[in-house]
Amino acid sequence: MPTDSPSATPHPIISVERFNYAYGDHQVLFDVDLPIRSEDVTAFIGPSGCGKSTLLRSINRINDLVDSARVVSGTIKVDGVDLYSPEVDPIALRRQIGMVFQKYNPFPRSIFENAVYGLRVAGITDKAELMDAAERSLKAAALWEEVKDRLQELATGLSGGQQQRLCIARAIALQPRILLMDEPCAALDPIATAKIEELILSLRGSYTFVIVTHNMEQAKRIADRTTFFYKGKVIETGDTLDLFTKPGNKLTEDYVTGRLV
Amino acid sequence: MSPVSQQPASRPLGPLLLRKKGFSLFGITRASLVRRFFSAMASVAIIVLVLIMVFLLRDGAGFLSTYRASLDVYRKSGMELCDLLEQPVREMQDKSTSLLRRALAHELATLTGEAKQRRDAVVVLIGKVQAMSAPERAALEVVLTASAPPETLADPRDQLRQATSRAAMSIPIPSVLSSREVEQFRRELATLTPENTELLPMLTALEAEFARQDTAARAQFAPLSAAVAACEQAPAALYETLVPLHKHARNTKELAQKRLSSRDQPEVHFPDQLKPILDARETLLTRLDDYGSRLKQAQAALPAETRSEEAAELLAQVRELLPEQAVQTAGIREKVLEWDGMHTVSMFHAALGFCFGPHWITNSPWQDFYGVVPLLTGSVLISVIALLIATPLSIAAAVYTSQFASDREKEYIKPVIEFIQAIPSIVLGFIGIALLGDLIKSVSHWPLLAWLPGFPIEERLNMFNAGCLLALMAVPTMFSLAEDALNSVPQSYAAASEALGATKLQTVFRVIVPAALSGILAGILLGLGRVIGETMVVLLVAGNRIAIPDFGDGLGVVFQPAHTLTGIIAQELGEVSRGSGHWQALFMVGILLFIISLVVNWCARAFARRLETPKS
Repeated sequence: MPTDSPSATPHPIISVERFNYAYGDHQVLFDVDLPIRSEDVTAFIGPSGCGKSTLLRSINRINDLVDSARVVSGTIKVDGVDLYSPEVDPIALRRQIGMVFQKYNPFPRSIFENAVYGLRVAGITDKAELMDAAERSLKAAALWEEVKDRLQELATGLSGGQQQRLCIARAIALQPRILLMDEPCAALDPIATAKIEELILSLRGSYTFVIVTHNMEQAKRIADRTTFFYKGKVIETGDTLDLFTKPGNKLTEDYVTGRLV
Repeated sequence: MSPVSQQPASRPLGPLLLRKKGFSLFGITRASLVRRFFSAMASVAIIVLVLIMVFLLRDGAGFLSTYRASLDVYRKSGMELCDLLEQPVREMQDKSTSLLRRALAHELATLTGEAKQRRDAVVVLIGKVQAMSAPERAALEVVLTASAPPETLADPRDQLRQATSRAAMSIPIPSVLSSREVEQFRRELATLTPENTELLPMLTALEAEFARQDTAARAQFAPLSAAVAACEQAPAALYETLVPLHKHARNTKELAQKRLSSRDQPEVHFPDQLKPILDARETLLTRLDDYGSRLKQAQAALPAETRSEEAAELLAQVRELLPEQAVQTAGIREKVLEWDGMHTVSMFHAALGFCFGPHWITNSPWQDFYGVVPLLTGSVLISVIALLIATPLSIAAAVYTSQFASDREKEYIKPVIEFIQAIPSIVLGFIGIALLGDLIKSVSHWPLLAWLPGFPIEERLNMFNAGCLLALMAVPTMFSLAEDALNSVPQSYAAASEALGATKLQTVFRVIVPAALSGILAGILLGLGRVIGETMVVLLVAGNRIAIPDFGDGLGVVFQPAHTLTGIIAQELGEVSRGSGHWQALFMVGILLFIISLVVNWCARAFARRLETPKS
């Protein structure tokens, strides 16, 4: 269980401060305060509709694509910079904060083109550099051995687990500091899930992971820290082992023991 | 006890499993009746399609044998031999004489140019003055035609005189006229009354001056004039020999046609009929050689020096052309020698004649030809123009609407573009005739645009005009399909792309448009199907000239008039007698159109199917 490092090194790379967020008139996050430590794997758990995905999607501002989404008040700071201040370029921000989605979504192109998409849109055209980056990221995503002979084949022809690992490779090709994962195993079978978890554990320390998951066992297996959300509020946050074995809040206890749905 | 109140587990199950007796007609239950009704509706569509094909084929199928028979008679009567000789010679002669005439005109203009300018200037001035005093003139004419008493005429007369002199003072006078002549001109204008039908004395004088100079110039350029005449006269002897042969061949053809229409007529014995023509072959060849040597003489007689540069250039062209024509003459000679009048025309030859024949000539007193190439090139060129205009327009509109427009804008853009489809094509035809044609023509006369190929244009009704209107008709189809395809690209692609640091523009052009490409292509092809099948607009606007466009103009070819596959059917089907060769030929054109549409639609479906597969 990765809980040997005590919470004594409080260096939050992301700090969410009194964050309120709404879709139109419908507020979904209320006064969220949450420090997320660098190089940790942090899991967000909670019942459906509790706001954990919304918070995750606010960190790389991908929720900007939703027309009605808006920040009501509060800030999210990454390395001291308020992400929602006008000086921040969301494009540059997303190059530093990668994201993997619930449903694997490679583009209907070749495996190679998927792996280097982020670099291509960043303006890199040098063939050798792209090839290097593709190899590096596919190796990091433990996919290289399986696809190295068919890089020019259509990515949508891969199996579900392979497609999701390609999406992870695509995200880490840009070498981001932070990697956000929105239920990355929800659409996968147990074997593919195990591979992804293994991958996350192998990458731990290189990136700061924030993972939304419905699967409490998964949180226990891979997360250093776990945060429990309920109805748009952070109920409890702490080292994963502590949160599951001696929850400090009645709601948390009910949830982790399966009495709260 | 009712079954409901029983415990479900203890209810007897068996009777519930049996089929219930319900409504049935001749042992067919209601469910299967409904099913049959729907399947019948589907089969009606298929049956109708099959019937259409059978109908088209039935009337078109006879075409090849009819056309073969007609071409057979054309050959065996000797008409083919006449054309083999005459047509290329006429073409060559037209080409060389037109060049020579233009050269002569340029030469004459070097001497008579000023006289001509002065005369033309006065003609133009008179026209302008008359246009400016038109209302007064009309008023006077009304009084004159009413045969009113002479004293009432004085007033309108005076007004006309005043209006004329006002106009004469106000218009700018070109510098070719001297100030004395201007004075004279203004004086003489006063005599411009409706009763005076004679030319102004001044104009008559200028005319005479020009005629005198022209005669003098012609005398000075006698060598060139002689060359023109020599070229014009070169094949005269050949034509003369051909005249009785024409008559004879046509006579044979008529006999053969009579025999075809009724069995009572005597059978035509072609070898006998052909004999006089074959006998004349030697004479014809002598005349042809004679024509060749005359060309050489004309070549030698060309003047070495010219006054104008244009004439020098044209004469250089003629110098190159004439030897080429001599070579061509030798080619004709060989063809005539090889020609075998008794060799029966094959079905294959007739089919080739239809598919690749360069002439569509009907109701000709000589021979009808049903070559589809001029119509096909017209249809294809117009469609290409329409697609080139419509594709960027509709795809750009679709990309904007589906990716960038706000909901409010979408509410306006989509219905407006789709509304274009509701405009009846005949109305678009009006617009093409009344508005677009004049617009294109007047724009093409702007000196600023003279560098464009084909500009300035003379024909209001041309392929470009028709292509523009057809593009408008294709836009709604292409826009709707492209927009649907773009909208059906999964949202997750856009999210993934933006999460990887792509801008909105990069996302649209690197991910969304490529993912929708097969749908967009399907839309373009369906637009093409619509454009090729459209009839009314092309019939009204394309100019309806049955000839292969002259591609020598480069891109300017689009400003030439043309006829189309659809237009020819609409125009000619009403006038031909049922079952004739012409009628069958039109059905063959219909079959050709049908095949083209089928292929285009099949391709569109193939692309659309590709769109459906990658979505996982």
